[in-house]
Amino acid sequence: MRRLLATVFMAAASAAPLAGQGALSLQGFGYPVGQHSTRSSGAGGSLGETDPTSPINPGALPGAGRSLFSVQIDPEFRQLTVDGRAVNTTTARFPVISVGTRAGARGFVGVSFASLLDRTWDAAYSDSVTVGGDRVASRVATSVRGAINDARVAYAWQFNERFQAGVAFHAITGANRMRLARTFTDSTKFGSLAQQTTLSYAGSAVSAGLVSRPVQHLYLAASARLGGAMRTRYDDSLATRGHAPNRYGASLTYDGIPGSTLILRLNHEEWTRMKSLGQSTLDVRDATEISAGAEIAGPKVQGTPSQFRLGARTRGLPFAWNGHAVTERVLSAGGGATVGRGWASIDVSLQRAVRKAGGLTEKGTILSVGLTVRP
Amino acid sequence: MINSPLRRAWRVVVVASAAAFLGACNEQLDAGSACPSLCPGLSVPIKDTVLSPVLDFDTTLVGYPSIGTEEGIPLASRGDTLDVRGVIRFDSLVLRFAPPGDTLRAVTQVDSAFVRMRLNLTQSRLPSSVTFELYDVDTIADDGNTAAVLALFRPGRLIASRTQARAEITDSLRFPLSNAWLLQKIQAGANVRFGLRLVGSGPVSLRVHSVETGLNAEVRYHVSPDTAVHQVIVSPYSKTPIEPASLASDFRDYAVVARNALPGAGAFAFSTGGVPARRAYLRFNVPQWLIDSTTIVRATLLLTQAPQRGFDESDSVTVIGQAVAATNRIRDLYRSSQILIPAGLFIADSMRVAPADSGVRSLEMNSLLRVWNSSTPVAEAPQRAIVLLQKEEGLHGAEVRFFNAKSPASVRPKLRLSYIPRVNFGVP
Repeated sequence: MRRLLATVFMAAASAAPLAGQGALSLQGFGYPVGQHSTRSSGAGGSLGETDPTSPINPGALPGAGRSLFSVQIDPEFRQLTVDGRAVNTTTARFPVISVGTRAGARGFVGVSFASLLDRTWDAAYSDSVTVGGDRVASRVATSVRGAINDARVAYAWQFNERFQAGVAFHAITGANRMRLARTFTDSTKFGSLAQQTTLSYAGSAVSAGLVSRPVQHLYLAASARLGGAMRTRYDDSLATRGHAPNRYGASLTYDGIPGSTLILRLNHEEWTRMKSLGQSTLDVRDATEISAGAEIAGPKVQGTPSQFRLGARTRGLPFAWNGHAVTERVLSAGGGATVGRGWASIDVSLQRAVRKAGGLTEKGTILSVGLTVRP
Repeated sequence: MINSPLRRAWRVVVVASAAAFLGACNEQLDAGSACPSLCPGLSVPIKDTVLSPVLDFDTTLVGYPSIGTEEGIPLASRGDTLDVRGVIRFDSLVLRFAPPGDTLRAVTQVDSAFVRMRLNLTQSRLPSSVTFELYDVDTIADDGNTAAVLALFRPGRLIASRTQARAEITDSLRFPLSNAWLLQKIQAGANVRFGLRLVGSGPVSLRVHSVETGLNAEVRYHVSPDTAVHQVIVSPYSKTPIEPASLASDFRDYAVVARNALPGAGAFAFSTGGVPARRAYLRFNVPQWLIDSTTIVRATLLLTQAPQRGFDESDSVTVIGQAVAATNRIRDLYRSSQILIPAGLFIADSMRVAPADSGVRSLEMNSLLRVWNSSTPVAEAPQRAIVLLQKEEGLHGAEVRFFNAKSPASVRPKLRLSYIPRVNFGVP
């Protein structure tokens, strides 16, 4: 108990405040979280096509078994180095919530909410601007709250032990609540600025996917999402029109080594379909992701099975900075254990991400803790 | 329940993660070098524009502050250019008194009578010697008839006179009064109204404290040789005008301008200050879209000073702007120029200038434009006008002039605005 209290104290004291700032990963419409569950994150995202709690491939849903409820929290601790100065920031996310249940002997229905592009950050800094010919010191405070979310309703069917497939409808919704304030040191001469607006999103997409076992110990999973029309509204006015991004992904899983699973995944996302949703200067690029990982059975303690996971991935981020493409490389590790006599499992993963663009380097550590209940 | 090592480890992990997350929820903004270059979409441009012409109307109004409300009586004697005198009324002399242990009785004798005034020598101009003259200016003429009062500053009405060298002039001035003269006033039930005038060996000006400054003049006298009977102290009081009665207090002490030879500001300038003081009334015509659809960050009124040669031309004075609080229902400009938002509110700026100066002066009035914006939908919105006046209004002869809206474009009043349009900030 004493150790527990000490852990609580140290963890709470060491946690950085929620003071996200401008970052390489937060350009454009935000950071593509990836829609991975904690389990998939631990394996570098390679489990995305086969993991039923990651709302990526609707064909993976029957793998959940009876039914599921899954939730996770993903605080990210970032360090961005600019001109030799390190800026530490933190962002807390709830990237994925999934529920689902069997529908009949072979069907499975699932509903999930996931962050597609997270754009939550704060920034406060001092600068000077020219007002009426005078250079004036001021303090700027900006913040953006919100995300573009992917609300998915999926149905999957297990045709046999070797093949299952599913389809899904996605509502791409969400909002960014943005606040901008500028106050001047000399408030007698200069008036402060405070504007608050909301940029909301509405769009749709459909997706389909499958998981098959063509040969012994080898699984092939693939999925595609086709983005439909998408609109943004600025406060109450229609602002821009565009399309939700298409996505294509596939993975190969090999479980021929007893107690171990090796996964290789390829994913491509057509973010450029969103370009017209932003301003003409928005530099958006399609992104390809390659990930590899392993899930290894751990020891059973008191009859409780456990798993360890390792993974790595590399990808491009959709929104460039200053004309430079932003790349991300991630190393991850994690683990999971079944608790409550098999009714629930707890997963933990730790990802170390390095993002680079135009000579800037941003390092992020993402802790993910997920709880999955299978009543 | 068995506390296996694995269970304990999981418990620690879960609790630590929750604590870390809760700790992260304590929001605190911090500066950093990441912004603004890495905070795209949230920078907004500040635009500058100069409105000229910006005044819908301007004029100079004379006669401020209203009679009797001056923060002191400015006395001046500048040869044939400026002559300002003062009047102090004591309409409430003590006519009866009651010795200790005795009954009330009429005053039958006066002893040791004098009048004491407090002087404010700030910004005074004192020649080598100054003569203070005290006149009896009691009259039955209308209170507003200054000509009748000025006519009483004549030798036959001179009560007392005192000449002092410059070094002898302190912040207190005491005039001995004729006991017989005062007793006669008391017994006749008459008013004592003093006219005060300066005569100097050269140009002279100073101020006498008034009721408004809290250091008013006093008439003192003894009505009995009995030392147990206190000295009578009479403060300024005016019985007239009877209607409206509230005006009577303004006539307790006030300034009377006998001469001001300074020519008017003319058709191409408006004026502030001087004696009697002038105020410039400026009504603005700012495009409604600027007020409604932008965030005004800075608004600077640019005025070009017109050099003014005359007395006190090198003395620095402070010109302030005050927003007009009167609504458009009030058409009388003189009244509108008195219904003002307190100084320092919405126009915190001021101009320190001398009459003979020239060049562009500025007055920051950003807050006022925001008030005009917020009051746009209000039915009884205040006039979009300001009044320029001198901080020590009516107490100084210096008059400061500025080119008006009818002047050539290069010198007419302008409003320099820095504003932020309502832009769709935050769209990547």
